[in-house]
Amino acid sequence: MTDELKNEIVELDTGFNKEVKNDLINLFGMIDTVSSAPTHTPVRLIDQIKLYRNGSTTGLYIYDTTNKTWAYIEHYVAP
Amino acid sequence: MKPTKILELKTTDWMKGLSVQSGFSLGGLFRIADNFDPFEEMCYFKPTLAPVQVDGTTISTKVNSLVSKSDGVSGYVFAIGTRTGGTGNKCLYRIKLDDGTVVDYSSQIDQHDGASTIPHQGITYWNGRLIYEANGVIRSNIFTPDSGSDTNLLSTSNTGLTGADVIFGVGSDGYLYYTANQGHSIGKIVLNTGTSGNVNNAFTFTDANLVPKDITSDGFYTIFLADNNYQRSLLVNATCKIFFWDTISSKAEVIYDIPDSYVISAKYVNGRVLILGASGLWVCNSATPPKLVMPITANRLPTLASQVSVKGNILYWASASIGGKIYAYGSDMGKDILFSPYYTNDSSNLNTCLVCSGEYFVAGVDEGVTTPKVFILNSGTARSGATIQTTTTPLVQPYSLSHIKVVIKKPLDTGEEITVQLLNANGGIITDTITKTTLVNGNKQELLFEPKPSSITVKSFEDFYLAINTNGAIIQRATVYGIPIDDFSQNL
Repeated sequence: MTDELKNEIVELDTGFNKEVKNDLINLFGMIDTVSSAPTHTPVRLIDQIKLYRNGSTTGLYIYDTTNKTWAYIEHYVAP
Repeated sequence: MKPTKILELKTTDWMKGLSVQSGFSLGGLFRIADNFDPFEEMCYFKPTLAPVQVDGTTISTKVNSLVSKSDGVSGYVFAIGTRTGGTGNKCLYRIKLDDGTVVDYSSQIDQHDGASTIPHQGITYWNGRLIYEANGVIRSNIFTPDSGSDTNLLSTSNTGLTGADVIFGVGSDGYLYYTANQGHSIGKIVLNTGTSGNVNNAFTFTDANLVPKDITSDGFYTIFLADNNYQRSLLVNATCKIFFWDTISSKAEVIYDIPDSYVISAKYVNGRVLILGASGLWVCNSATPPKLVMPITANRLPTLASQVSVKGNILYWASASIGGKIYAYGSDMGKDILFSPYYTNDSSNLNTCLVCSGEYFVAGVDEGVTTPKVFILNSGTARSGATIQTTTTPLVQPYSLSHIKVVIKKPLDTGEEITVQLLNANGGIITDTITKTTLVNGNKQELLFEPKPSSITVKSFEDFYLAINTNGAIIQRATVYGIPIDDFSQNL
């Protein structure tokens, strides 16, 4: 009867970089400011929201994934 | 004293791959494992099928880019090379994989260019047409190329940088992108039968010194790899970057620096981006920056992205060193490993390009850097020679060699042979090479290798490595038995 012999190897850490944590709380400046109405089809949540500024007009575009259109809300300025 | 096991290779040991260093088992168990695909028949040491050279008469010009395409029945690979001038110099071949026949279509391309020297730097197949680069122009042709179908897609493609290749890749929007290596930009092909809408600068690098190296996609982003050291000098502080671009914005959404001397290729494999650079293999995705996960020495690396291909969960590449070895990283099952599944078995072969086509790999090779050849790897009828060498095994006391036992899957057949050798870490011979064949040893399944002295035999040893070469036979287990020598009273 002979003993089983095992070959040990030093394993490498082959996973993704763990030094970075993309916590939501660390995100800043991810929302683009645009001067014309967006027309593209976004592929990420962050591309779904655009701050609109053109002259004195300020508004917010949000992509409606159900109807495949951009919805627009304009900032009301009292006369 | 009674002999004891000091090394045993069996079952999953055969699937532990190549080590980062030969001196100890770091990330793998073997310092060499040539012509051995651990996933072909898992838990056995089984040599790969021999490579087959295709029509060495027709293929007479160096092939530097390959693309696979099926006609719905058979698999084909198009091979494009550099016309060097003069009668008989060829530059486009179509290879049928099931019978290895080659058709020379060299005279059917380059219809819009009368120059005798036309470097070709890249080829792909997109949207039903063959697309190729020729001396700063992008053109297309049909599956059976003919001169009447040769069509200009972009007459100024900003390609042609000497020493770089042109890589085509389908972006996340479905259009074809290419590395405009002279323009420091990414070109875009939207029409494959004319010039309308095709541009050489769909994306331009802010740093005008960056040269694009490769293109891939993760489904959301089109991904570019670039550096400012395409000459691949190890003596400069280079800038290497990977870009994740949504194909819409004027700038990339994510740009990561890669702290390496140069970069070679980036491919999306098994849910992450694998990057080959001067230091080895890096991994990243759009949310995590690159991390070096497997240091790889230069002799195991490719030089250009046209030498890199993907099949399933595994990244394959043709190493740039003489010998024609193919390396791979990944796994069909279990932990990702580095391994060397194929070679063209000629010490003078230099790989020029590689592509996966179904079950086969096709490699362009220069023999002695001047004689062009194309091989279909893993396609022969016989299993050729495969070699493993373990990393150094350190021992806690001195040993002398008792014997080595090798168990094979079925009795040794005619023409099969197994050779073993045992050496210490310094290369000293513990037992010289011993070969077992049916001619001498009969058709046994369990083989015993008694020590064979050489003129410089090491009689006692405290570290060692095992070398096994199998020609055709499939090995199940290899065990080294040593006789312990008392450490305290050893007569030195």
